[in-house]
Amino acid sequence: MHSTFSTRLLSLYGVLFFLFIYLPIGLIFVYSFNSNPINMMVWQSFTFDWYRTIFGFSAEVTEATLYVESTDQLIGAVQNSLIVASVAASLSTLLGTAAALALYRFRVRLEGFYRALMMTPMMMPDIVLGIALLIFFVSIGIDLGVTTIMIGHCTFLISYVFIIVSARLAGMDPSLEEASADLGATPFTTFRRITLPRILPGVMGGLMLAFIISMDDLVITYFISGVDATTLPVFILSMIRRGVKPEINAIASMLLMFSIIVASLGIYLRARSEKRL
Amino acid sequence: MPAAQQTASRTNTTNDVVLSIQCAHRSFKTPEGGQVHALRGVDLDIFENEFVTLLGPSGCGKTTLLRCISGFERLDSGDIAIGGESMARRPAHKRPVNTVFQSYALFPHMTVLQNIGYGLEAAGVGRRERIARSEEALEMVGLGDMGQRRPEQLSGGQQQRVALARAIVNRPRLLLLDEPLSALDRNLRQQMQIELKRLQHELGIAFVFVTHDQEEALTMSDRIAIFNGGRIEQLASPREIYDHPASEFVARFIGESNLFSGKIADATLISSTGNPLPLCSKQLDLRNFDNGRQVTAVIRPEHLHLCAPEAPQAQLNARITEVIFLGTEYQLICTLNDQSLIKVRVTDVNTPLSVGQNIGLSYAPEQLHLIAGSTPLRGAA
Repeated sequence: MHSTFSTRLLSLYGVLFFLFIYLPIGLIFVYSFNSNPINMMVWQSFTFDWYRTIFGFSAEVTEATLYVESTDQLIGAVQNSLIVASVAASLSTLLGTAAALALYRFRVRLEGFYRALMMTPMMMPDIVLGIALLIFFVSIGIDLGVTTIMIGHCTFLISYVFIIVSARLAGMDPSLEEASADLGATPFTTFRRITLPRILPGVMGGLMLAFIISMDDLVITYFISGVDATTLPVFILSMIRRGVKPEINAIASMLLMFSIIVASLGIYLRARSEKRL
Repeated sequence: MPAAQQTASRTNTTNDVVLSIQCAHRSFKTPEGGQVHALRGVDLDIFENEFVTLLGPSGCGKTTLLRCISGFERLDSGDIAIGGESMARRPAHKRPVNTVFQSYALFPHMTVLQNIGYGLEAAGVGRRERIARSEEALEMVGLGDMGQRRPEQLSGGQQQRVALARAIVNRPRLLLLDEPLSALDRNLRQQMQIELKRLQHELGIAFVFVTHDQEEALTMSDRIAIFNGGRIEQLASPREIYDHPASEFVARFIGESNLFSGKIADATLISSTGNPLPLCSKQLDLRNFDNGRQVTAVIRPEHLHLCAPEAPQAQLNARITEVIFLGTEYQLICTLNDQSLIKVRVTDVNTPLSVGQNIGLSYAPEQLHLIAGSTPLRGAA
């Protein structure tokens, strides 16, 4: 009797716990299909209109409920975000993996110190990094724009890739590389045939993570994006400033879906690799 | 000592030297800033078709030496030559040796056949020949039908065999084995010992086998190099090492032994056990041991015989402290007059034995082997 009661209490806690985490996100998703243009909290009827307007299709909604600049600028921001995320994630994956390999392979003095140095940018307050990058770019005279966003993102994305690839390397039997050399393979062949396949899931996972973090970054990007180069999060922020309109729910929901897909892919790749040891 | 011992026990001098190690030194820095001397002047020649075991406790330098031969570690000084060619400037992947790793180190993302063919592929052997030779090697280790499996789908013993096949398929001048049997259970280990010996005969490759297991070493080796503190204490055939250990360390490390230290006086050993222990005068002459010389005498438990206490033939008197039944024999632990313990093997299991019983012990003087000096770590004796 008693145990059933406490079990139920525990279940209730579990439900509340997940509601606490997911209710706000779930609501946005629901609201994005609510046709009520005035008050999104009152359900009127199901509609795809908010999604249609984002993509520039005509919809039977009043102009007042839409953001003026909608489609063109939004698509420009999405494009910027995708370009920045692709380049920054690729570059930081390359650099982060190389750094992880270097610290794994060579007996470096002060190795712990260098590892800490690699991880620090990740833990640095975004606002500090943002300001620092802004001041740096301005003082050496680089015009703010897509390039500065890419460089800025790399500075902290490398940390994430470094950690994931390092963990993967730490789990690798060091005698595998020795066995390869012992069997007559050149260092390059060893890397191509043994090391890279072993760490590839980590590298891919790092790439995915770096990509969604870059897509999602607001604070740092806000400081270093300049006037013309607006990424999606910065654009959304500027829209919100002029009031919360139903359209924003649709944008947020799509961004959410996109992140979930990329993150799931990353998790799937890592899980598959762990199963294979 | 090592050099002299080496020549004395060399049985196959007509063969060519395949591996020659000269004065190998290697030390490591410890994280605390100290230095560990893993190798302190090791000399070792290994001949074609020879099975040599590097035996010693952990941290004695045997694995370091193996890693220096395979090229994963460098020597601080000294030289390693394989087939007469110095390996000093050759990286691991250009050396004509292959290794069976303790962890097997099979490539988990490749099939068994791909694992075995890896070395041939690196050597540029064509696909067809590669597969044929890999299958042949797999056949040799008795896993003919496992080629398409992944290493994770094999048992530990099977992985061990694949690791062996992967190493021998390249026909190295020298096969290095780094404690390859330590992860296997006892039965499998004994089976693999026999098979390794068979493979070595079939292939005609010199094997250098690292282990800390004396039974393994005694079973398989043509010669055993006993390592201690970065040096070879003795290099000789298993029989020679068992019968004539060159130092106290070797005597203690190989087999069970009873040690008495004392001074020689008129063909007897005066030690703290009370009675003077008779020595073999032939041995004294041969080794030039004079009266007053400090020596350690070694006697194996199986060379001690029971007799009545205080009997005329009893050279030692003792009291039984413990009786351990070992199946085909008893091991007795007895206390001598000076409270030191002595081990005795009794093969006649029908002898009535009880704890607290007083017994006499006798031995044939020629079974008492003498070691000069009495301190275990005085150089290499």
